[in-house]
Order: sequence, then structure tokens, then C-alpha cells
Amino acid sequence: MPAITRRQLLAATGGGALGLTVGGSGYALGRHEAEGEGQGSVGATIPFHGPHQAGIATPAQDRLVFGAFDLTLDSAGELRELLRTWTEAAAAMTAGRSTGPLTGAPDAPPADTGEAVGLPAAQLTITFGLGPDVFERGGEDRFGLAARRPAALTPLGPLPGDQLEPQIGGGDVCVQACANDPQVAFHAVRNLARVGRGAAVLRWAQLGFGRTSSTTSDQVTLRNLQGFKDGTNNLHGDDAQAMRQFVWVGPEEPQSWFRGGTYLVSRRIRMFIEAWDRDTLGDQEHVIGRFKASGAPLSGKQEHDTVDLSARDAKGEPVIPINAHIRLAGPASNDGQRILRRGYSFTDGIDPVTGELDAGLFFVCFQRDPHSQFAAIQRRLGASDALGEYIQHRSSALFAIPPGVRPGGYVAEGLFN
Amino acid sequence: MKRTHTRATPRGKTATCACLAALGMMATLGMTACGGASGGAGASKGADTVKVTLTDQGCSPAKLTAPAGPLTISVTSDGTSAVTEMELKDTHGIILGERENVVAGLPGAFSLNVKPGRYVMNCPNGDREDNGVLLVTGSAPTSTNAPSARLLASAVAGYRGYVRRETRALLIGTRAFAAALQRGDTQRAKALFGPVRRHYEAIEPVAESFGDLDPAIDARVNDVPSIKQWTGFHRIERILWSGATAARGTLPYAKKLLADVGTLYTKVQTLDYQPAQLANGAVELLNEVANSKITGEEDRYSHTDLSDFEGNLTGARVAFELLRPALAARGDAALARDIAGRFAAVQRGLDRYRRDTPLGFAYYSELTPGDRRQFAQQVDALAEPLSTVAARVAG
Repeated sequence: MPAITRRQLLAATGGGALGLTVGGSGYALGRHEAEGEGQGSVGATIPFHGPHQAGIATPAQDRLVFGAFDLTLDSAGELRELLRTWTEAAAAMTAGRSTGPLTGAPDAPPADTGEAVGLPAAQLTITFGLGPDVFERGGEDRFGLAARRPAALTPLGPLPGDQLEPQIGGGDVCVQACANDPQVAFHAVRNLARVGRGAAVLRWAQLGFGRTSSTTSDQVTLRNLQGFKDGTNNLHGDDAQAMRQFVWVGPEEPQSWFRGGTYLVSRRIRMFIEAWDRDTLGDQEHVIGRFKASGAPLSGKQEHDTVDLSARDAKGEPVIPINAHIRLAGPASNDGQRILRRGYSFTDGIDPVTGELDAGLFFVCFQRDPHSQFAAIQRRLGASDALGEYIQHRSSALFAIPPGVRPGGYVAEGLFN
Repeated sequence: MKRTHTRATPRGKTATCACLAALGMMATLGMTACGGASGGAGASKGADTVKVTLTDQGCSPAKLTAPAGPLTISVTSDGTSAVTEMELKDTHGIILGERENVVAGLPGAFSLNVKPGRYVMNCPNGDREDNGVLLVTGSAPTSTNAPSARLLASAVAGYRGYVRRETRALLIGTRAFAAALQRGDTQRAKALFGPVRRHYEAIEPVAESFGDLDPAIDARVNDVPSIKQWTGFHRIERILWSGATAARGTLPYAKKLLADVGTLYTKVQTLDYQPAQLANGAVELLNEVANSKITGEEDRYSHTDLSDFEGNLTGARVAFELLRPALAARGDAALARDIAGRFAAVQRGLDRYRRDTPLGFAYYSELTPGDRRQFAQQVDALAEPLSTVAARVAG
């Protein structure tokens, strides 16, 4: 619940004067300027096997199809079979292959659904995760796995500003399929749903059409639907030390099978597009804490300039307002905590109630501990972030992402050994 | 006449993973014993192909040779109107495979596994039959798990009986329904509507095979090109449940419905089936459940959808259970157990909506959103492995 509106905030901080700074930048941004390589490599493959699952530290692709499944099976043995089957299918699809041939007996349905035939691998990654309910649901140890639950896989609980719709959140198993071709990503989730029928049902799914984060140091920062560069100071997957420090679960984890894993939090963040679009440029920039055109922090000139939270203007007011998004979301305000963001813009048409655009950010992040990282940051943002006037968190899900799969192995293999 | 349909080629033992039978590995396991040349359109990969042209004189050429093993016979028409089908028979006159409705521009093909020997090619033109000969040479590996022809024949015979019984019950019920409307007894007609339709829903794919009969009997208002062409159960349903107390408006439709059901009854008396049709029909029935019963579209005025649901489900299960011995005989017992378990899961859910009323079921409006979704998911889970049965019993 945003207690302070943007305009109230501006008045309180005297930020109206900051508008001058904005106009002064004189930055004229062409559509293709500074964004030369928005498309990732189309034909390449990302290895499926490795110490960590792909789709986390690997370069963020342009498209997302995210599926959350509920399990309809009854035992750990059946869950293992499902994960084996899914692993096999995922290994094939990420290598650019079908799950089976399209030819065969005319009396049988074709093994693969076919829509990705002829399309490149498109850097497809398929990342699997397990939700808290797999280990315990309503106090019940459904599959006898409660004793093997990763330490931090406990529900996040309510967070300030949440307006959650339970039917589009949670889930037992997640599948994050990212690719540079939307049909390749869709094909992956569709075929996994198909081979999983009888063992798992889709609970919810989300399509994302544009990456909003750069996750490696050589990717340019793209813009979210608010038109701002999002994720300039994101963790980079090729920064091994930062990944160890903030993302990969390490030797401190009591569940040895989960070391090398991580936690995924997803949030469907609805943007109130119409309201945002009629907000003034100066106000938008104060809400975010960056210049819209350049992406530079209000305390700097270039996108990658250090965010100077202590900078003050001539009147002694903070250049980056006290409730600006980058101030509250950054590590300086959060005990040094950081997360790896890997979100995508989405739209699902219009809100049937209001007729307004149903669009926003499907936020996905990875971290070692969702409670001390995402939840702690969001507790601060949800209560105070100036951006809260223009967005609302409508869904939430938490998954433990098992470590990577060895060749011949399967996802979460250690859980069953 | 025992009609042995031998379309598919021998298959390796298929996946026995009970919960995930649909995994793509199945398709890669088939077709290991094939003889070389590429197949024709729609044919199994790896089979030899021979080409037959339909002419006024019958099959051309009149003599063909082929190596033993998987064989695809590709059939085209030279434009003749006298001959539109080709059958391959053994020397006892048993049809081993056939392709019907082949006309100029619309070729066809069928595949079968042929052992060495002499076969009769028949491209009947009205007064001349069995004009061709196919000589199969060499030796073919015999399949160890081809479904037993006896078990499949028994399944087909059982299904034929089931369709006849259901159609008879449908005819008797439709007579009573029409009679109630004739008497102006709308209450009685409403009470009969769901229970009578249930018999139709159990065998609907059979009726669908007769082109116009299914739409005449069962079309919804949005299925017809013009409302003037709308007839059948749902036309009467709309009048009955519109609050009308008089049944007079229904009488022309009741008369036509009775005639159409009578035609269906007559046609099924001589109808024969392929084992794969039983399996495919079962999947079609489940598609009906998922697409129109769970959504409440089928009986949108009377809300008797759950009774139709039960008819679809039972018709599908009967077909499957009849095929089950043949499935078991070819090593697919685990798949059959899995499918049976999934039938039972849907049935358990549906049984919670049974009511002690003439309809026997709750009205659609009582179906909770959660159960709607669960039914759809359970039906999907059932239909997926069931969709693999046809190829296993096809030859």
C-alpha cells in the first residue's frame, strides 16, 4: 500500500526543481541507438548439463514461457520418474531436437507436437524447480521428502503491497523456458506438459515477450514497459564471485543434494500503464531514480555511473529521492544484499474489469536465500517504494532450483538418493 | 466375416512407464524390421511401396511382386468413375487391407505386413472383381507381439453388440420422448431428455461416421449454417426449457428426430468396425467431455451435461475394456492398467455428482469451478495414453 503518492512525494522533497536537470540532458534517443544487439544469437545452443542449471547465469534470452505445475502423482518414486522423463525431453529440446519423430504410425499421435521443427535451438534453456508444497503441504509430508527440504524453502508469507491471486501463484514444480524464439519456448512447456499428463497439471503459465535484465556483462540493458532501463546494476552471471556470494547455495546448506542450487522467486507485477503514461517525465525519473533517456542515475551522466545516494542538490535535498526505486532496491539500503534478476515484460491483453492494458513485468530473481534477499528487499519496497503507486504485485511463487544435471543424470537426482 | 486389419507394422515392445506412456520414445521403437525403400504419403517409414492405379478394368497393373515384410500399397485413380477402392485379400477372400474413396486427385495408401505367398488384389468395378495378383517373395520376420486377431475380432464383435444395444435403447427412449411431446406432456418430455440422450452420447462417434446424421440429431444452435436448418435434440431442448408450456412447436422436430434415430438404428445393424476405430472413438468421446460437457455448452438450456458426460465416459470405457485383452496379449498390460486407473479417477469424480433423480446426476450449475478444472485435467491425463492405443491394435 503506497502511503505517499508521487506528487505528494515530490512536494515533500522539493523535487520539482529536479525537472530542470532532466530537461538539461538534451539526450535524443533513437530507437536503435544504444540498443544495437537486442536480439540474442538465434541458432546457438546453451548446454543443458553442468554444475548449475542453465537459464540462471547464462545470458538472458529474449522470450520466456514459464509454467508452474501441480503434481497429481502419489509418491516420490513417481516424482522421480516424472523428473527423469522431463530431463530427457529437456535435454533433447535444448539441443534443438524434437522430443520424438513426426513420422511414424498414422494411427498414433506424433511423438512431438511439431511446431518447433525447422526452428533453431534459439538458445533455449529449461530450468526446473520444486515448490515448498513438494516437501510439505498443509502439515502433510506428501511424498516422504520432508526431511530433505532445502533449508530456506519455506513460504515467503505476505509482503507489504501484495495483492495476490492464488490461482496464478505457487505450484509444485516450475519450468522456466527461455529462448530467442517465442515458439521454441512455448513448444518446450507444451511438450513437457504433454509428456507429464497424469503426473502433473499446469497450474498457471506466463508468457514474457521481452527480457528486462542483462545477466552478463556483455549484454546491453533493455527497457521495461515503463520505458526505463531496468537492471543496470544487476548481478552478472559471468561474475563467479558474486554468483557464489549471492546466488549459488553453498556448503552451508545442510541438504547436501541441494548445494549448487538456488532459489527462484517469481512475481507477476502489473503495471498501471495508463496512469504511468500520463505521469510527467520528471516525476517518472524521480520515481525510478534514473534519467529515462540515458538510464543514468539522477546523480550521474552515464548509465553505468555509480549511484550516489548521498548526492544533494543546491537546496540540500537528495538528488535521488528518499523513496526512489533504485535507492530502496539497491544493496546500500538492504544490508548489501543483491539478487540476480531475470524478468520479462508481459501483456495478457486487457483487464476484463477495467478495459485497461493488463501488462507489466513478470519478475524473476535468483538468490541463495529468498527470505534474507528478495523478501527483505521487497518488504522495504512494498512499504515505501515510490513506484508502488504505479505497480501491484499480483502473483508470487517460490521454487528451489536444484543444482545442474550431469550427463546421464536427471533433475534433482540427489533428492532421491 | 472376420476382417483382419493389418495396417501397421510390427512394433517393438513399447514403453511400459505407467505414468508417462506418451513420451516420445515410443515412436522410435517401432519399425525395426523393415525392408528398404521409402514409403508413400502417410505410409510407415521404411516400408516397400507398390503402386496400383484404379481403372475401368480394375487394378492396374494386374500383377505385382513385392518382398515380404512391411508394404505400403499406394492407390491412385486414372479418373475412372467405376472404381473407387482397392482391397488386398488372402486366397480365402479375407480382406487384409483396403483403401476406399480413391478418386482422381485424391490418392490413398494403406500399409500392412505381408508374408510370402499369393494375394488377390480387388478393384471392384461392379461386374468384375479380383482381377489382380500380388506375389510376395522371400521370408519375413514374424512379429512376436502382434495383437491376436482372435482377441481383436472379439473386441469388435463386443463393440458391435454394445452399439446396437445403445442404439436400440436410444430408439425406444426417443419414441417415448416424442410420444410425450405429442401428448403435450412437457414435464415427462423434460424428464426423458437427459436419460434418452445419454444413449446417444455413449456411441456418438459411430453416428458421426454417417455424415449428416449427427448434426441432424445433435447440433447446437451455433453448429448450423442457418437456424432454419437446426433440428434434433437441442432444438427441442431450447423450446422445452424456454418456459413454453405448450409442446406444439416441438412436434415437427420430434418427428424428424425419431426418423433420424430410426435411420441410425438401421445403419448400425450392418456396421462393422476396425479395432483402431474403437480406440479412436474412445478418444473422441473424451474430447467431447473436455470440449463441450465440462464447459456446459452441450445442454445449455436443460443443464443436463453431466448425464451426457457419463454417457461419453462409459462409451469410451466400454471400447477400451473390449480392447484390453488384445493390449495385454501384445505386452501392453501396464499401459492398460494405467489407462484403467485414469478412467476410474474420472469416474470417482463424476460419481460425486450422482443424484437420486430421474436424470441420475446433478445439474451442470452445481459443478464447482474447481471440479470443472479437475475434470478437464483428469480427462486430458486419460486421453493422452488412450490416444496411443489405436496404433497398438491396428495391426
